[in-house]
Amino acid sequence: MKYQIVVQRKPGVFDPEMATLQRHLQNQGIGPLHIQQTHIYEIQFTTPSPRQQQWVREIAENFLTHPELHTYQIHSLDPSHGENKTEHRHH
Amino acid sequence: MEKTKLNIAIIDYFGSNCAQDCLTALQTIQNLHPFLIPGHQRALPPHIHAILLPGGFSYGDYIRPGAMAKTAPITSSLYQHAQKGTPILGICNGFQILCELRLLPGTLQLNAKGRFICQEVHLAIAQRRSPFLAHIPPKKRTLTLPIAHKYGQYFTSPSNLQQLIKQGQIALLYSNPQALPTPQTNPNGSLKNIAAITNKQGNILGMMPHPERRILPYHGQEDGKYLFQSLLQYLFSKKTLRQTPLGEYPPFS
Repeated sequence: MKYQIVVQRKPGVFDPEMATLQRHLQNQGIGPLHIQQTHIYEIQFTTPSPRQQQWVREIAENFLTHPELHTYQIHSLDPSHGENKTEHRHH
Repeated sequence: MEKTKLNIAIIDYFGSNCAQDCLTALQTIQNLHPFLIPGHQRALPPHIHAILLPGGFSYGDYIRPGAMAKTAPITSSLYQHAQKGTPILGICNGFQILCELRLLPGTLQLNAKGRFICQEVHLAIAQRRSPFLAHIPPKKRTLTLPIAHKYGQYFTSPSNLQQLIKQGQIALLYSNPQALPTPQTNPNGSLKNIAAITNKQGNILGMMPHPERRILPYHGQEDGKYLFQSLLQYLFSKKTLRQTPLGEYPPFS
């Protein structure tokens, strides 16, 4: 089973990199606009385990996000059925 | 009274680049016995009087600064000491790790200007509950120390910020030499000019500036000494300390 963890900043958390990019684009006449970065992590377990959903959640909560900065979503991708189950999580 | 040596464990995580600097600087302070403990060790030795989490990009700052160090094997022992009230100081990356461990509230994110900053700053001492600040002479209202970080912008939720203010957990503020914090003296965009905070109990202090870089004569200035002299005074004032074994741990190779 393959999983995707999609991480975004919470609304109101300042992102200096995107603020700089936004200003730069607007100076070039593009916009007005709002830009937000999204990080996508893909995880694939090589051996099936009943605990893998729990592990994916632990990876998302313990490593990939900070509760004061981020929200995340977990997408479970089943290659055999083309199924996409989405779990939304907000700290 | 003849004073004994106090054991300070410096946790050396993979990739940290300031552990050795801390060791070298603290070895010059009388009555301190600093030694390195690898972060991949399972437990801290007994009879530790204080713990130092040094600065310096542990685990390459991958994912987020401190995000990987928080799951190092030494962590459970660190939690036990935190709960027992052992004084813990986190400097720079050490502060980031303490926030990731939730031993301190909030987080340190990318500087407001998005750049690495390396400069000297003045710090107003906002409160002295921490063992590292409690015995700094009252006349000393500011410290001058260097900062060197890319992820030093202190951030927390409005409710956490109110708690920090209400409970007197804000320890040091970026200020001018007269101890006045202003927007111009805020180098990284930290909320309320925060440079250091303590936990609710006061035994844990996290700070972005580097006191270990202002201790030795060739550093040009010695304000960093105040924190460790304060710690010594605090620990020697506790009766139980005199019964503990003394300086028995050689530095780990």
